[in-house]
Amino acid sequence: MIPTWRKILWAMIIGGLVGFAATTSYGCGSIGLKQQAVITLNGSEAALEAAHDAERLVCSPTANQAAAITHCDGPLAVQLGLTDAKHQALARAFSVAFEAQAKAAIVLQAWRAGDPAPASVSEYHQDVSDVLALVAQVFPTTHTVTTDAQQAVDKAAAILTTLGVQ
Amino acid sequence: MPIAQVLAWLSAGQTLVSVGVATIAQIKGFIATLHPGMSDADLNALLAAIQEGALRHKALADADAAG
Repeated sequence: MIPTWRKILWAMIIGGLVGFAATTSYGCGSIGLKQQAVITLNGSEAALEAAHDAERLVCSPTANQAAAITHCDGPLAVQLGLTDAKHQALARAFSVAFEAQAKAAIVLQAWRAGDPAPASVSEYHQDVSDVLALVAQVFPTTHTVTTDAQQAVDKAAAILTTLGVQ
Repeated sequence: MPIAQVLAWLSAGQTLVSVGVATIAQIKGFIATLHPGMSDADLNALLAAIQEGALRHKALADADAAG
């Protein structure tokens, strides 16, 4: 026959483990995926902004970076062949990517684990990939514009993985 | 069983419960440190900041593209 104290002890252990599992598993399961997606989107945005800022700085290091930059006169821009036309093409690609990024942020607000992955996130991944393709035509692979753009793409892809798209 | 013995077991049981609760609380605190978890309100605030930053950069890009 099992002594009473052993029954009490086992009851405490089992009860504690059940309560512990119930509270921690709910927290990890329901909020974890969305948190992961949002934090990754935040990282992608930071990288894309860094790439954008770096490209504009190369285009014209002396221009007011808070205003429109329409002419590339920086020494590195000349060296890399970053012409006004290429800078404007990059600007259009960045504009599309940032717009898609803003849309992705809006739809993720309403997203819940188990919901279908928002199409806006796939569109953002495609748009930021287009930026990278254009950047790669001008900047070396080791330049910060390229590495930041690559990081933005990688993190966009990671969001899709988190949401179960790929 | 003598009453004194019963009281002794009850006291020991209470001590064990206290130790168990404290241990579980410490474990949960450790887990929370590793996996803090953001509230939905925190996530939405971060998403709003992301949207604001993206739109700010879009405006700059649009200005550059306009020539």
